[in-house]
Amino acid sequence: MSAVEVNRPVAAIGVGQTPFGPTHEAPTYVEMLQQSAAAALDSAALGIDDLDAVVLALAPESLMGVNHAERWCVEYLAGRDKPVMRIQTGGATGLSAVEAGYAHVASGLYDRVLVVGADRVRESGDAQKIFNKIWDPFYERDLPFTTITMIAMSAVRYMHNYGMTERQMARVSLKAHRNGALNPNAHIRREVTIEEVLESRYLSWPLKLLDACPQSAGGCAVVLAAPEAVDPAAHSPAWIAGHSMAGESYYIGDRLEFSERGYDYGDAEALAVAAERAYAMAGITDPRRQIDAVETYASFTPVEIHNAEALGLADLGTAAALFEQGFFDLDGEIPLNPSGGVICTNPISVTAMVRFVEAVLQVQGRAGPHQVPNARTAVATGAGGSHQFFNVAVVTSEEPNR
Amino acid sequence: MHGAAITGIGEAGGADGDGREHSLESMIFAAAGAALADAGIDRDDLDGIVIAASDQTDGRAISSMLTAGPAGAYLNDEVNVASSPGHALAQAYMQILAGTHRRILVSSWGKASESAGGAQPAERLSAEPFFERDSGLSALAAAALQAQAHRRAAGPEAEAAALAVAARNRPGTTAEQVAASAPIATPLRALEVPPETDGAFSLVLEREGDERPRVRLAAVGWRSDIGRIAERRLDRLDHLGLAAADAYARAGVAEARREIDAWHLHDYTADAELLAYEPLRICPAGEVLALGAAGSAAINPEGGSLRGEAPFGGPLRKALEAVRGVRSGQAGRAVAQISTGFAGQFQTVAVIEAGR
Repeated sequence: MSAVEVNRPVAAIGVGQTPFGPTHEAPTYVEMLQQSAAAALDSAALGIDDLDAVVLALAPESLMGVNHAERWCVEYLAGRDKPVMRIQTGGATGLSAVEAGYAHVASGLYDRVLVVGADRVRESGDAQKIFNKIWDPFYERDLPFTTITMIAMSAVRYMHNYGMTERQMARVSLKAHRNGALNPNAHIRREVTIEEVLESRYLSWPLKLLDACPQSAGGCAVVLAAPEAVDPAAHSPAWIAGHSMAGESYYIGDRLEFSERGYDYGDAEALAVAAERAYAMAGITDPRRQIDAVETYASFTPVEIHNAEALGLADLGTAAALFEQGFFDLDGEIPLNPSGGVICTNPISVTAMVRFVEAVLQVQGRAGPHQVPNARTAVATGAGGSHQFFNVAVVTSEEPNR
Repeated sequence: MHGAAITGIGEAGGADGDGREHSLESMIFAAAGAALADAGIDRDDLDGIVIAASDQTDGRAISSMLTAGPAGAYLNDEVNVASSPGHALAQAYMQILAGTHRRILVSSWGKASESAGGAQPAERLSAEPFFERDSGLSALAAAALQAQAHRRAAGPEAEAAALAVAARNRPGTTAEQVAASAPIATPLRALEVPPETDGAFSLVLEREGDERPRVRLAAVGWRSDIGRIAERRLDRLDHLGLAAADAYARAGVAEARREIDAWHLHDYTADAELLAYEPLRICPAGEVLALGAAGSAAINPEGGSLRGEAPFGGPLRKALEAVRGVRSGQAGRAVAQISTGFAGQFQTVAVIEAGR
């Protein structure tokens, strides 16, 4: 998306999240949609009738047990007779839905759009049994791949290439849980020590329980608006300055050789591609200097390490040491996942939207105990499929130049 | 604001079900490749991919993991608009208008032969889970309920009109043959609904440049009804009327009946087609049955969908039909209606017109 000439800028003027937690304690799916939508509308000082259109973020519907659940949800979002569409890009869905909402507004067709989603990840049993079914039935399903073994293989590759240790992974977990304890909406809100992480049980070497995300339930929503619909008296707009998505190959076996960029399966090349495009759209030429906070979709600790590199915050193979030095801590140079990130909360359909909402809260200065001081530019990312779909959004406190 | 041109179309399989010679991904690849060839561009020329992939129809937990690649998405910007191929077309249209994209490939598909029972058994798991799933509601059952409601509201002449429409939309078939076919879901008979086939459909959208394109996507409008069948007025498609109003306003269509030359309508059943006439402003309510009985060369000029329809993605074919009609000069301006969900819950209206 070079030489982007955007028709008009787009602002987030309201955000809402439910508290996240285990599915057995959560309301029904549609109730969580309504609760998060109501919270977003409240923060935008709008009513449901003020909305022009609705975008639903709903990832693998088999997790919550209703196929094409967008059909069910329309009436619970006051969507009768309105334009409603559903986005599904796996774990990247929440941010893809924000990107779709962006198109609604930037096109000039709609002034106020609700982007909303929810998930009940254990509704249909252990998510990993469902995730095994996302792989090709002939070549990769029987390995057996799950989203855990998929990332374990990536971590092993990264260890081989760059010498990452399990202790360095544990340092990422320590940082994530420390931040998550400050976030009132996080599913997991307790600090952990490096020793606790190292002593937690193995899921698939080198990943241990405390290197991994939980299976969460909850909802999330955003109200996007045109500049003409931003009320300075009521809103503290956060502007979407850039966004993009890029997809990898389906077969993980196709990613086992180094690419021209020097990435292989231990890294996240498509995230780097998406970041380059989003940064170009946002005018970011030096991410280490221009970005104040990052909310990145990292469901396991090694992913946060290679994501930092793909986002241009560290050179390839150097991020693990930077985590150890506190570079990405809440009081570090570039705070990474100040909310605690996906390690503390993973309601899959909206996990990437939560990243966006947390980025919005940061540039609005409304993130509370996990606020990054003076954050003006924040980045949110999503990831879905077989570590395959990656998207990036740049959020700023200043309206982009028209 | 940038305008949108349609510079390429491609399909594999389609009404005749030839997609069975393909795997799912090769069928998508064939349609996408045909659209790119038709537009005279390569995959590298694209800066966006928009697909409509149905997990339940494709039998995959995340269909786009497999299908986005053959639709052109490797290392490219991509989104899966999973609610309807009409919504995918709308999303691509908005991305062009927004200025963020210049060339987008839009694709959708359905492959009924993927499962022995076709798409209907999986459809049952998309019914509202607390009150309606246990009733066995499926796309066919919902269509039958809609046909019942239409015929009850429209009066005794409605059945004859529906049989006439069905015969036209299934070329080579007479109304008498339709009437004599086996009942499958009251009041529908076997020849009143299309067989499920395999098909993939693609379009290339491009930002309009200084030169006006041969075919323009002048506008798209889309609206929704709620999911619960029991709470809907099945004898009306008010949300289709709202979608049409959006599209006509955006395209500058003031008097649709006079300004539209061809109507490529959703005709999963003849009753669904008849219900669309008034909200699309093809004719007033009082003239619907007469028009249905008499027929019009402007309505479904390619013969409709009753000879075969790919599940979920098949309705995107209406947009390809409209493009072909405009390219051939048979229509200066055409409407494509793309309908998905039980009894047309999601309605999309696209206005496609000649640019020069």
